[in-house]
Amino acid sequence: MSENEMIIEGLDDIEVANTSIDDIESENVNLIFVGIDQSGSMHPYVTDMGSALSRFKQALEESKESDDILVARANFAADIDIGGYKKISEFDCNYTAWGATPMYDVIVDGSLKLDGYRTFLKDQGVRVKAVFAIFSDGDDTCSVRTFGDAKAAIERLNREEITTAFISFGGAATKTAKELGFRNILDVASSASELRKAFDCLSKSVIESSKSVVADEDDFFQI
Amino acid sequence: MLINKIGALHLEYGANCQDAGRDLPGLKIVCDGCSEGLHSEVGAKLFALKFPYYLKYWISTNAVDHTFMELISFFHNDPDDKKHYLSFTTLIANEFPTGFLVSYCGDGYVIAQRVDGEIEFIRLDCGEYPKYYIYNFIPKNRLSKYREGVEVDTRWFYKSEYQRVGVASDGLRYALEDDEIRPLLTQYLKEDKPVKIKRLINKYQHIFKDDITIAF
Repeated sequence: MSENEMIIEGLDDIEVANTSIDDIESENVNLIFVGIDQSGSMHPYVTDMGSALSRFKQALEESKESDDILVARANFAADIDIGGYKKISEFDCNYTAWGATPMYDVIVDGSLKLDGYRTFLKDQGVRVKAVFAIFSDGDDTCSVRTFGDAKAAIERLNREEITTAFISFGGAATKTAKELGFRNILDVASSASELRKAFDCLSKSVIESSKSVVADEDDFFQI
Repeated sequence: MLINKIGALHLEYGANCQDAGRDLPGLKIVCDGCSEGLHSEVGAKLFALKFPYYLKYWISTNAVDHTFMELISFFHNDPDDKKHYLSFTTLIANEFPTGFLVSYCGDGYVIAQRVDGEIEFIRLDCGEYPKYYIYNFIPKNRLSKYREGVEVDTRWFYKSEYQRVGVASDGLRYALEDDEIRPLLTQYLKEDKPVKIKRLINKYQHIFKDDITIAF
């Protein structure tokens, strides 16, 4: 075992990577996956993104539903880095931009991790709703997975009544998002103010979605 | 704590959860609607809402009567409506300085925690046929049982023996009959962990065939 591996007695691996069941104070949990494009083309907006993510975090923290929300942030640039589902207070608002756009990889791997933790929670008697959201300013450029793999992943999420949402920054990824099968697509122009509005919309949509008993289908961004 | 969960059979049949409950300081209420009553959850919920008001002015047994009289006023004396909306058990635990008074009409359970911390489950059994207070307001010729009327029964639990008393609907029986679930339920009641109890019921939904409500 390497020194980086951590064992905590009494916790499954999935709990170590995400939030342990004993730390969840509610019967109902809303899992929010946010895949964030950190490719080089986003470089002009590094500061604005950091600010937008901070506002996103603050909005969720201040909501009454904050205790029921767990967020996993996934970054995709030269490679992908998918974090665990953690309380919103632990959400990382830092942002850098470099590298390419392995969007299909983050969709496939992100959906598998969401499935795994969701199944774990449901087996423990937790009622789970989930939102799978991607923010990107362009199409995939370097994934190992294919378009077909990503499309199949989105189809599976849709079938399982997980809300799928895509924020297309600048419009270049909108067509791909539709073809992948995302049920909710927010198309915004590429500017600092539109970026801010997009994440404000995302935070409000997450909060509204968390209040309802059933998952949103295609009205996630209609708040 | 208040736990109110739909039973697996109700889910299967597309029926509502017909239990209602209320957890107030010093007052626990559970009402279990008759499964043959088309809308018994309506009456059960209204009773749980309204009863505390009448308890301010009447002792428990009289407060039950006054609450029913108000609920009946919705139904213009239609005996079928009364049966369909107001057939539910009433289980009430009221705290006093020296003890707890449980008033009940119909089946269910008392959950009593002794001063040493141990939990007792005491079955309240009103006999072969379900007993509903609404029978007092239905013409005798429309009843096959309880034509002579029904009364609210009472039991007293001294604080010298019990530190906490609550009530539960008889859906609790499925938990008590299961060797795996019963000890977990008992532990979570002792630890005062309603979220763990809810998750336990969610996890073993298939075992909890009937609605279950616990006010403790």
